[in-house]
Amino acid sequence: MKTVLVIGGGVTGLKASSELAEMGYNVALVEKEDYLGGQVAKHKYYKLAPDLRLAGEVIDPVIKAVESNSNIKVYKHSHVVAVSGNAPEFKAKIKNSKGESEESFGAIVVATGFDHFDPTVKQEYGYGRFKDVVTNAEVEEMLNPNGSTKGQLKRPSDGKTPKKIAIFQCVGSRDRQVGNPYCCRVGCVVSTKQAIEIKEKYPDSEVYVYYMDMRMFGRGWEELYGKAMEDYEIIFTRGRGAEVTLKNQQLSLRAEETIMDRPIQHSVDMIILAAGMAAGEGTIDAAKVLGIKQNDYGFLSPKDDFLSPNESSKPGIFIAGADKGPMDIENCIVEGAAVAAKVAGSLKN
Amino acid sequence: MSEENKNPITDAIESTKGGHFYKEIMKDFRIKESLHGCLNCGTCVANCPAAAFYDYSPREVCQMIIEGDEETIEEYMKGKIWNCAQCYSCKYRCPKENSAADIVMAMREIAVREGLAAEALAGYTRIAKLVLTRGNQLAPDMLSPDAFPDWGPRMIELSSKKMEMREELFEGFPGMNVVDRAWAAEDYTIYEMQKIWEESGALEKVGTVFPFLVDIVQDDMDDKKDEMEARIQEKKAKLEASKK
Repeated sequence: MKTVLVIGGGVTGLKASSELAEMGYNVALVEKEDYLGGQVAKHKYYKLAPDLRLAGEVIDPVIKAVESNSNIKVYKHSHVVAVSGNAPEFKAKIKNSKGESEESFGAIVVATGFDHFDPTVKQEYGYGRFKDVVTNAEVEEMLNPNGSTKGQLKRPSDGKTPKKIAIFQCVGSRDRQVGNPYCCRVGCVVSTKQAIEIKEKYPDSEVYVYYMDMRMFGRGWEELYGKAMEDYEIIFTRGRGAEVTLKNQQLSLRAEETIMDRPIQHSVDMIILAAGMAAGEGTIDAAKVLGIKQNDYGFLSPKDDFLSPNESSKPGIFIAGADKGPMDIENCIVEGAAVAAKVAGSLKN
Repeated sequence: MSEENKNPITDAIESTKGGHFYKEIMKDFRIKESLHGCLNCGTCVANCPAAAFYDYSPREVCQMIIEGDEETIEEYMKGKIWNCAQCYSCKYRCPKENSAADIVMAMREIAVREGLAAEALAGYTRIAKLVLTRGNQLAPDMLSPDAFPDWGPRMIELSSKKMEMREELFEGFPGMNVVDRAWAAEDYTIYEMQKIWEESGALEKVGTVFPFLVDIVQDDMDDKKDEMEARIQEKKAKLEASKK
């Protein structure tokens, strides 16, 4: 029985591994961090949209399915540094602190995922300069009872609970200035979810969302958007956050209220940047090591977007999840299962 | 639709895209690089110093070109585009890398060419005159404190002793102890500059915006030209004589 190499221990890689192992294949799962769960674990995602269900309820069973299956060998804190051979005979070098080992594999699944966009590049938002400008990932961690602030939303500058909070949509997405003209596909719903969580926890707070379009295309997303407006009185302003300055120790933002046709200034206590998705460091490394095609933004290109969505440009190397482009957790799990089926099919031939 | 059936509130949209001014604008090489569709996100307006104080919106400029309505374009060329300060903040912030500032620049050139700019630029007659006759665009004398209340009360105090301050500041720099222009250029420099105005066709262009001004300046220029050319002849003759 051939062994499958899965690169990446995020939600997609975990699902692909457990599905393959259940079909009877041996799997080597290589993860660069010393924990499984990818970005969900890294940033301690608290609740998932649109049901506000605990992220742990989703990610824990996926991790458990991998850890409890004896067909899967997990390499934590490890990297795939070199790959040679062709389908169905690959040789891969796996490196970690203990040393290097070379093993044979019948197929390779790349599930290296994404990185949160680093908003330092958007200098006009002051991320990194103003302490109270934070990212949505940082807010996830704050809202999580196991996170740094034990579930409290606190201003990093003085530890106080902010009263007026603005959320900027499309940070590092739909933006040619930073080279990411694509949509991050989750920012709208994550921001709406976080706004609701904040209002639930702090009913006296005011939450403003500065957006261009609310792209609520997922299951239950539009309903969540309606709920945010009707039940939680979250204020959605149609205009992209343009600039953040600090005036008398108070954050001040500029935007245009495009429906009323007027430029506005708004003083707030905290600004949350809905930073989008960029190709992960692991994805860029994997593309280099494996020699597979990337698109203009560094994500991996499928052989055919419609007909072979999980095949890379090289036979025997498969791709799945958010390393192909922005994707939500729900769809990453679907991708993990889909790629497992495709790998199993290819190894039978 | 007959008159009586016409909805009194809703206007029917009739496209008037493709008129003369629209075509002229689209011919400009800058437009293709300056407009890649528009998200209507308002980033440009939020960053625009002109939009904060005047009736001007870079977003509207982009939308106007996309719609291409001839009447609206004409109206803009006569008025709103002249409120842009050409700081290019829109260009460096726009997520679509559009540049309303470049569109405005192209439209201004066409407005001048087509004779639509006279009214909007009437306030700049003094500046144009100074440029044509002295080669400077601003002079300390032009900055009367009443016109710039935002410069604060110290402006009034300072403007009463402009000359003394300049003399002190620019001691040893010839040509700087003047307040009716930024500095005094030499006669020959002005003569050369005016020759460039004339031969490049710039003077003619200015004439489409400030016809009276050019008439006045022309006399002045002709006098200066005669004087300078006589002086040049004199010098040449002297040079010839010294060679012999």
